[in-house]
Amino acid sequence: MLNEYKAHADERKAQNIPPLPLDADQTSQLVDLLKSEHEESELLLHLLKERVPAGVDQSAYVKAAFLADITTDKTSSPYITKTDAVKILGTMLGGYNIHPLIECLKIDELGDVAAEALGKTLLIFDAFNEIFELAKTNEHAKKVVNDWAEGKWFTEKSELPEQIKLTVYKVPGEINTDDLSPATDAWSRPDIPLHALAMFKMPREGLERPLEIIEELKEKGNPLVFVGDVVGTGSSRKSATNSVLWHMGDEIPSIPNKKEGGFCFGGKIAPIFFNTLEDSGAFPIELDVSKMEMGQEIILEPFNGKVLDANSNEVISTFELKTPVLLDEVRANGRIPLIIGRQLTDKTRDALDLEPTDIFRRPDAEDASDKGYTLAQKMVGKACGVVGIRPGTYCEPRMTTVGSQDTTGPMTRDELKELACLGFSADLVMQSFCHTAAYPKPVDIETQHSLPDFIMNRGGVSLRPGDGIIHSWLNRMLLPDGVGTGGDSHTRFPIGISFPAGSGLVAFAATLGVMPLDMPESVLVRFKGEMQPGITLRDLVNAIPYAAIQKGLLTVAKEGKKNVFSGRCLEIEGLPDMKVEQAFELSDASAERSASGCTVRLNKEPIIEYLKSNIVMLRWMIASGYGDAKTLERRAQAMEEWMKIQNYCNRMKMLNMQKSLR
Amino acid sequence: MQPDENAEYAEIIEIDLNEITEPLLACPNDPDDIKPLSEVANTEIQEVFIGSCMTNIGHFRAAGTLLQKYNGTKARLWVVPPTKMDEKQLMEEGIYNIFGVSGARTELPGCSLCMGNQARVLANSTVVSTSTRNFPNRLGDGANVFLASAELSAIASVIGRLPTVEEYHKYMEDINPLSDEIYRYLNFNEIDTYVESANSANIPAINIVNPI
Repeated sequence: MLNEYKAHADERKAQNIPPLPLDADQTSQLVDLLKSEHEESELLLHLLKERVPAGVDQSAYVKAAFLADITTDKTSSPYITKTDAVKILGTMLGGYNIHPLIECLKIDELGDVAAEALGKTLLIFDAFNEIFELAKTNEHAKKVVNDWAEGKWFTEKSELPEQIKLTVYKVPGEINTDDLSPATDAWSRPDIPLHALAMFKMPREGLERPLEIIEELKEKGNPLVFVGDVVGTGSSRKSATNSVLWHMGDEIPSIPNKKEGGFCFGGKIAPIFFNTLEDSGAFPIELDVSKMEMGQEIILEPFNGKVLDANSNEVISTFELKTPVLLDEVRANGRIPLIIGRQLTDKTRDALDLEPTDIFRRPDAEDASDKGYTLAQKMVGKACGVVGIRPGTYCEPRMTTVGSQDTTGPMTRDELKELACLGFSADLVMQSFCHTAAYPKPVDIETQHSLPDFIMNRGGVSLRPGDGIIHSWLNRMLLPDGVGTGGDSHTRFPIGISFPAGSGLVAFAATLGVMPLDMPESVLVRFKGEMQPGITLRDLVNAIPYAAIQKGLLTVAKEGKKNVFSGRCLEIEGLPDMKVEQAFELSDASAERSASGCTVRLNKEPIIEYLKSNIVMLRWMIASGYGDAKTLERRAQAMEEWMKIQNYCNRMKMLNMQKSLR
Repeated sequence: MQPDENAEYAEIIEIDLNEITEPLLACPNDPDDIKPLSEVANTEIQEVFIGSCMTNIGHFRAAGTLLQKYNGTKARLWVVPPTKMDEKQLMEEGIYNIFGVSGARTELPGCSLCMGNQARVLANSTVVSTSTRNFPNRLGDGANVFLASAELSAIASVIGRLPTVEEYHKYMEDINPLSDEIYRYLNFNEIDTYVESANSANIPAINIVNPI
């Protein structure tokens, strides 16, 4: 095993990338080698500590089981003491390491170390109750609970410095996610270092030797900041963020082939790309970048909202952070760890009857506007259990429906494993194979074989290769007014609303059943008049940017680009009798507008027609052997329930009318 | 659900349908760069793609109706229905036969050229597509891509160039009178084979919790 691994590592080294993480087979062979004396013990230990994926990956299972066996004397290693084993377990994020660590809390000699580890672990989920219960009788468990309550996982990380010196890596013009993560290399996306080699592989004016320059600029000794005029438009590719961070981010201890941190400045940063950066602990800032040049050394003052030239100390740009919470996100190594950690701390304090902590920058409280709500604000409100959500308010709407397609699917799978997900909390999660079915590569075939069970075992619905496009199926599974997300930028529900996201956030939404959202403002597009002969809906799709250009709300040029739709909810009305299939043509194209989400105002009749059809489709899927059958049936019944309520409302309306007539 | 009348918007854009009298296209290679057909008419076209999530079964009937009167296409035509149910229905209605006779390349239901990660158009070709976006190099290396309706795309494939506005409306005379028949959607509850299969399903017992 070791020889094979070394040969593989050499091969990768020739490409200037690290070897792949160990798979389950390699990990079990590694574990066997570690059980007796070995001349390369240092390498073996390094592999165990640093090169096995964390979470609920199969290799993590092998690693955690081995370490657990050491702590309980079922096995031993000349190189790993019991205390070492507990410490290594503590680096595994959550999932298979949690129960062994809880057991160690009960062992006198290991309790301290185990408590130290659990106190900083965030992916606790259901084990919370077990540890909380144990804390009543066990001092070590009590320490864990106290650490959670005090937010030690957060306070131990230092606040951002007042000044950060950076070197500019600037690419002029619009940089879409295809430039960072080309579609032709979609197959290599889950292999982050390898995929990062394809960044900017298409020749581009004004950018010679893109990857070599990165290495040269790093020699100045500062972190690099990725700078562009318009950054991250296009597909919702987490892989685009992964590639930028691979070249410009920081290593993560004990997690192989993944990086976090990093800086990104853009005149405009597309909303999904902005979010994926936030999720990974990068620092995205929208600001004027016209005075920044490739190779320039600058000083970022995150609290003052200023960027200075490092030589002249002259202010070359100013900014306002999208939200002050961003500072906490960067400190916590990402928005996702921040949200999960904050929930853990809040939940613990609540259970202990303590006041909420003030260590976090909380989103601003809601304003007192007495205006009404838009359709999007009402839908998100409903998913949060309130009437509506004002723009700018941070919220965590419940996820009714979550979609995952096949070129992001394997990454979503990796992220689900890292989140220790063994079952979905979102009501319906669907996986498709529409991007790779036609002409698959061997790596696609492997995905097509293994991903369906992975999804269905967690209660999700899996389509099959050849079935067709994700949206054309997922739309038929939607509930009216529901909120959802998906790992494809065209996840744009024609009924309800979706906020498409990168694979990390999709995994989060599927696992926790909620997603973090800073409620965007809305732009209303209202159609009036009569559709003229020969004019199609696609012409109306194009009429939206056309009208915006004429009103000066959108420009085509990239430098200083104006786009009224960017990062907002596009809300469309004036065509209430469209079929839902037609409504999707309009909502789908909100992706090209870089809108965060889209609603289409429809009458009940087309929605009822659509649901009647879709209930039959869902049960036809059950009859055809699709799974998970329970999830499909649950959705069919939820649709029937919605129609019953509509019927009831109609009857009440009729009764009231009759009464008033009398 | 309906919005409140006094809701607040960052911007309100009104579009008068009476003023849209000719097709609008997104021009190479930016989905925001919209021009009316009259400004780009007669541009030579080498490849045409009808497919992606922007299409539904009605678009394929419309394309088939336009194609059936002509003897093949001058531009290479790719036809990809969004799902296997659309494909089956189009076969049963004889629309697939029209595509075959026209020399169109039909593909497995799925994303196909829209993502451009597998099959691609010829390098540096000029393309009309119904797909979602036309960023540089997306459908093919150096390809110049117009985004337009399935109807306009089908016409462009027949004549190998973008039509003039007059030509376009002439072709559309075949479509307009039949529109109720052409733009009919897949209602599974009205198709016996799906209903029978659904009725035979072994329904699992579930606990229902309102998911919204």
